[in-house]
Amino acid sequence: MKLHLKIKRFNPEKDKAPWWGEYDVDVEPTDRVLDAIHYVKYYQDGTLNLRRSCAHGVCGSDAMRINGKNALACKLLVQDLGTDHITIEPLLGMRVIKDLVVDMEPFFDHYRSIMPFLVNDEPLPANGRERLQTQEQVDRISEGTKCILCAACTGSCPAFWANGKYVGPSAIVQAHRFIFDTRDRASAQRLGILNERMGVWRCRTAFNCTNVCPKDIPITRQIAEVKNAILSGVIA
Amino acid sequence: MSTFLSKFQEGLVYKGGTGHWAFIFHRIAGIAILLFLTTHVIDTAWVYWAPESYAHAVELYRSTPFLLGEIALVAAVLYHGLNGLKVIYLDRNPQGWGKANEAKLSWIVFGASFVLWLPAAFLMSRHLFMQVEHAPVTDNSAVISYINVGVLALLGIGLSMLWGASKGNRAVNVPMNFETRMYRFMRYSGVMLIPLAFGHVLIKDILHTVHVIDNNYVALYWGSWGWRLYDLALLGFALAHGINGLKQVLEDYIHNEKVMQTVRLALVIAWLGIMLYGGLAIVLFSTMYQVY
Repeated sequence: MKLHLKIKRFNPEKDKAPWWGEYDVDVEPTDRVLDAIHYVKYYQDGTLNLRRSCAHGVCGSDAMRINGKNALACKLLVQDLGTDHITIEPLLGMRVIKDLVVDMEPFFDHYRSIMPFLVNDEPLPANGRERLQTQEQVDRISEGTKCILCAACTGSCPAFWANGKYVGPSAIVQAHRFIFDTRDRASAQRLGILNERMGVWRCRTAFNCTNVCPKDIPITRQIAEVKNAILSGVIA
Repeated sequence: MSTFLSKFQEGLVYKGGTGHWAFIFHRIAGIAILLFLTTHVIDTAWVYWAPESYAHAVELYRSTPFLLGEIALVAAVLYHGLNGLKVIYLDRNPQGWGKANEAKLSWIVFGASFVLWLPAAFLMSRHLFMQVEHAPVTDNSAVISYINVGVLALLGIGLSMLWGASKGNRAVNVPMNFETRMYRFMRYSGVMLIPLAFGHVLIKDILHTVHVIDNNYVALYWGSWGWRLYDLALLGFALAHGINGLKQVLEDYIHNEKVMQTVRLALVIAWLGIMLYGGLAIVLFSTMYQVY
């Protein structure tokens, strides 16, 4: 299958402005967009820069804009795009370091700000083993635990594009995962952080995040649950 | 500024779904309504502060560009109101934020706004291409106005009970701050504004139209305290809702905290000023001396 790739290129050391690199590649319909990009990098232009590690939808490093919409290049098959013209751009809302590589540091700052770790200083259960949860209690947080911090959601959020100080959907999902964890004891603190001006209230429910999550996390729904927890003081 | 514009442009080419466009339309409609609202409050207040200027303003509103703007305004009010209800409903019922449901509800909002707007646009646009005879409005239906105010008060009390202090065990205590209160207020005022603003637009813009509105018309309506209370409630909720909405929009784009502090202060002053100017006109207006 012949594909025409248009990739947004930018090397701040050489280019004044981003430009479009155009490439023709020959791939199988069942190949992933990442394979097409690899084809360009390996055989046509080795200077093309992108970030990818596991290449199998687990590490979350190759989120990018593919035909206008965020996705993991390693999860998206070229046959599912419904066209042989593919436009590839870096994520929005984050500074481009080179080509498809963006500066994720502000994104991880937001992630760290919501205390993404279990807080519980209470003594261990009598048997000295793990703190048990019922199946329902596990189910309550299992969707959020699937987050791989790829930034596809935060990079699709109009509120985050406009103001990078907004904590963003990904950090709220991570907070939700601990707030609704029955073993955790820092929910009030996390809700307090998200109750600030650049916290959860900046969500405008544009829903792009839920539409692009490669792990199908119901992000907008989780954000609404965090809002309701702050408003009602009840973690339901 | 150029980076702002290029960022804004990139945001528009992002291939978002129904929610993305709902957000964009909601924001544009909101700003457009606020722009109209502030001028409308000021020129309506002239009916008390400067009656002759009010007559001039109404004359201007009858011109073609303003009539076209009024038809667009009704579309903005309908869409902003219905989409707001959608967001309020889903945020209260988070399980509704599913992919299929979100798309369905967004399309319902687009469709319902259009269906409600069509007859309104027809009734309003008649003046553009034909002579329409209007009998002057002579009955201010004071009884209806008091029923309105009663129903609205009941709705307000019901809402505040629904959204008041939560019952049951508080698992966490997150102190309420300005953000939390404003989020609540936007929801509360949003629901209150559905009957208030939709009713106002229906009576003034669609049924009576600007062609019968003049100083006497206002005197007739404000002859009953029911309608004055109605207009005061509308002014209070709409202006505060709009100014806080504008603050939210500006906070998205103004990242310098010092500048934003000045902007916030300016917004508060504008809000107080317009509120006083319009509110006093409604309260002080005396029908005894104003009837022409």
